[in-house]
Amino acid sequence: MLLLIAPAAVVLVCFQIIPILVGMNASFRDWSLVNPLKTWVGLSQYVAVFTDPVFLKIVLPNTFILMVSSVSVSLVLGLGLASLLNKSFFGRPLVRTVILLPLTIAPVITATMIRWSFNDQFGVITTFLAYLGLPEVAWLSDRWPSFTLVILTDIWIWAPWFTIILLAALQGLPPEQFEAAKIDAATPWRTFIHVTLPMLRPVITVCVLIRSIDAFRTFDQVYILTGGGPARSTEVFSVYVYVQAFVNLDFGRGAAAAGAGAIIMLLVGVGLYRLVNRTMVRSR
Amino acid sequence: MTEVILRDVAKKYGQLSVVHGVSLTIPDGEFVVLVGPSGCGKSTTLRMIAGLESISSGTISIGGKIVNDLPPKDRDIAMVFQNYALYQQMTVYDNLAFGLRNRKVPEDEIRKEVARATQMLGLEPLLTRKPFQLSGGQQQRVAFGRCIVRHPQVFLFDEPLSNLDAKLRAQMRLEIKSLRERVPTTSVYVTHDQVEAMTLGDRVVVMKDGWIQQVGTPLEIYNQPANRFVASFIGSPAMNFIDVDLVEEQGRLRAKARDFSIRISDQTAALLRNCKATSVTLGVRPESIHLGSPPADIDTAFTGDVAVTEQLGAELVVGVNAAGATIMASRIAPDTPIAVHENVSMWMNPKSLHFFDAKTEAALR
Repeated sequence: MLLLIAPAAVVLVCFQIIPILVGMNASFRDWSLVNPLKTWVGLSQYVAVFTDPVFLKIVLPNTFILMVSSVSVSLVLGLGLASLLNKSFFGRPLVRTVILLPLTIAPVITATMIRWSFNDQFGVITTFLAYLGLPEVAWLSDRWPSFTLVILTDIWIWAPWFTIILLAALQGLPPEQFEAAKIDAATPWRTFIHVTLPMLRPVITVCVLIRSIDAFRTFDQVYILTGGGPARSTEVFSVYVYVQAFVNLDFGRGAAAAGAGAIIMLLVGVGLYRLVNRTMVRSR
Repeated sequence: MTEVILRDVAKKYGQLSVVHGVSLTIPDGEFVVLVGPSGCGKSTTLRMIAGLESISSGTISIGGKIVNDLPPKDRDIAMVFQNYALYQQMTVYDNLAFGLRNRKVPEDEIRKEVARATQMLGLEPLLTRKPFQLSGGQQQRVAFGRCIVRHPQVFLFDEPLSNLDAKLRAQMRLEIKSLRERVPTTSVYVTHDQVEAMTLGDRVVVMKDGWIQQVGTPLEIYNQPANRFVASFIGSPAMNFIDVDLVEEQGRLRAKARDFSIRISDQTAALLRNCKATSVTLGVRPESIHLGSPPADIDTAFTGDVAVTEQLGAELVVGVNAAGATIMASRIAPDTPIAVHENVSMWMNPKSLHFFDAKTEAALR
């Protein structure tokens, strides 16, 4: 029995447990690549992270704005698309494939595509918007336009994920409640609000939980699109950790930032987990 | 006056025909039970009445109005589903009120209607609960309540008791019966359970393979089955069937099989002679077969080895190998000492014999 789980255990220990322990150890030390004394400094790295104005005023707000806006908009879009795809119409398989395409493309490629499309000088979309006579926007040079692009890219990538899961859930719902609603003279909207949504609630909650945790550690899109700039204004949590550890080469601060993120995510995760449990009980 | 009339109603899925020209008139206030095995088209027929399935051909009218193209909400029907189909996130009160709210009924009127239904069904203490906090029986009662509050022209029941255990099913059967006395609305009830069909229906419609086999009162169906299928489907234990040859002996007609020969009463014999049948299937219900020797004037005795016994407490059911079949006899005193393999004598009540055409399986009358 032990022998059977040994390969998985070895992988887990080597690639999860040991790195976490090494990281935790680093977060309590002054561990810089240019000065590798690894002096024990206690919690001072954590204090530095939690008192860093960039972390508090830019990174954390950005991270939570990205998390909330991307997850909520992706959810609404996914729900809408799943409801449409749940009805039969001509060319449905083709539409379904097209809608799911963004999910098959690596986030790095998607982000590169978006960066080029919104390039100030020769981007397809900026050119098109200018052709329409819309005012010029410095998409990748100002904080909020850049951050909006980050959010839109994230939605572009993840809305199909919500669609595919919610579509599967919709197709698995028992038909009788809908038939009862038809006999009860419920309009399509009232049926959606009072019958469909409540029955989808457990799936929606699990999707939101998984995606929220995932959104907290978004890296690729932000790094490729803006690199956290201009002037660190679009940095999110993962980029902040990366910058501390691998740009500033301050492993101690980077590890502490990662630890701080883990603590924040633990708190958020516990809250969301309780919400999931409550929803499951209600929807039994 | 709400009469439900089905005229040549058929249902096809592509090339597959599942209901073939069903015609049925259900008078105002009648409780009709559609019964049959799985796949016989009973639920499809009900769903066509409800408007949940389109009709391939024929017409359905409710209260004198053809409803073929009307959506379910405009047919003025209410339906109870097998799995209750309650709205899980709503309280019992909201479940009952949902249909009325959709129809923009004023809230105080809704309160009155819900109070009336909950009082009738004993749901008052459960009004603030959600369906998952209720037992199966309570959920089904809420489903009934959802129908009652709306005062529909027709109640439709799609195997409403199938998800309940045997004891609760018997209890709910009585509740439906009593509810029916208080709310005498035209009803169509679908079940595969013959006990429900017999106990609840004013009339029973037996279906098989999309065809109506027989329509009649429960007793008509039981005592005068139209064909071998109806005879075998209704009744528990099922009717015994023995392939027999009809032979004239000394002016008397006898039904003969291997090691089996019984005399047919004069009245039945005249009837069979009229039909000019020689090879027929003899049907006899287990309760019409008795242990021991028959009275002197009855010549329907036979013997056989006991193959199986089933002790039910109130009665003993015995299966006897005779005439090339295992003939079941019921209502034998439970303390009768009978052992398997024992050779026993039995006799059939000559007034309770049924004969079916061996080929068409139609009852010979």
